[in-house]
Amino acid sequence: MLFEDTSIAYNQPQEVFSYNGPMSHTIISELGDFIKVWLSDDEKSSKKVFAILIELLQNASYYSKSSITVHENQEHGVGRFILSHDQDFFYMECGNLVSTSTASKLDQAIEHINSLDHQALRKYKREQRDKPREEESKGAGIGLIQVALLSSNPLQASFTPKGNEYFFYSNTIRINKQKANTLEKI
Amino acid sequence: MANNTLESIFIESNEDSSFTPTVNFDLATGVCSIEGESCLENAAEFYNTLIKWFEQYIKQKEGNIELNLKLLYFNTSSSKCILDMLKILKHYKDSGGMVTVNWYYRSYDEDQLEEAQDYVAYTKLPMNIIPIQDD
Repeated sequence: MLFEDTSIAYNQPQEVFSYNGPMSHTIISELGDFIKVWLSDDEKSSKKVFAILIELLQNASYYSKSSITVHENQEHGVGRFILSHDQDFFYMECGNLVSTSTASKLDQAIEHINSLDHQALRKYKREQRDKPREEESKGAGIGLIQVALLSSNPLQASFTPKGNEYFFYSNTIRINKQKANTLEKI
Repeated sequence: MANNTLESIFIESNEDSSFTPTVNFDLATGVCSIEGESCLENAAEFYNTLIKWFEQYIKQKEGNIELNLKLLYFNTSSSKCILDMLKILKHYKDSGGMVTVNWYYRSYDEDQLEEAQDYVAYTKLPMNIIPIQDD
């Protein structure tokens, strides 16, 4: 999983790792730890990439319509995750199976999130955070707002039909490399 | 009844994972701290213990509370629980309780600074927002 050479020779995004399978507690923790090691010389990027990874993977774990029982009584949502980067950005693509009704709700939610600027997103998060938890949701339902806030870039979602009842929902997050930014400003 | 006996809480974070923060709630002094990282998938289960502790402490002891939040990272599930906790402290302060909240964040981490500002704006509970310099 760990590439020895993380230097970038081309402008094409280079894949760091991809994962497709159950989003268990252990897997999420391992992938999070990898980010910390991989970006240990850039704390600012490390924190952002780590935080976004956790939200994306935990969302896939809660909401995926396809799941695997890893141990007895431990069912985990199945998702796909790809981390890549180029000179300017990190790219995190996360996808999972959703029902048609969820797909349309997500589509609307993402369109709304993308229409808000930073301050409006903060306000929206403050309001949404205080709403009662949805019955089927273990999360706070504000994961995507948080991802948009942290990445400072629009969410890029796609929905691919899978049969009559499902869609494969995929979201690509772009994160500006913090170190490159700092250098540009100086 | 056993659950009427309030005791200090100490929960040590598992060093192998960033899922659970270190918690130290001192019954004698009312000084409480939550430190480290909090990525719990079902944060409510973990934080309900802390929320209940505050509720009982306020009811039984009516003492001072100093909450030190040194969370370097938390997920949105934890973020909602932190809000619930701050709302209880705000209510206590409004009814005459002595409440101090100190929020620590790494000086480069603007996202965690904004988290603090957003909690203050929403709950109206003042916090001392304190940057930690890099090691």
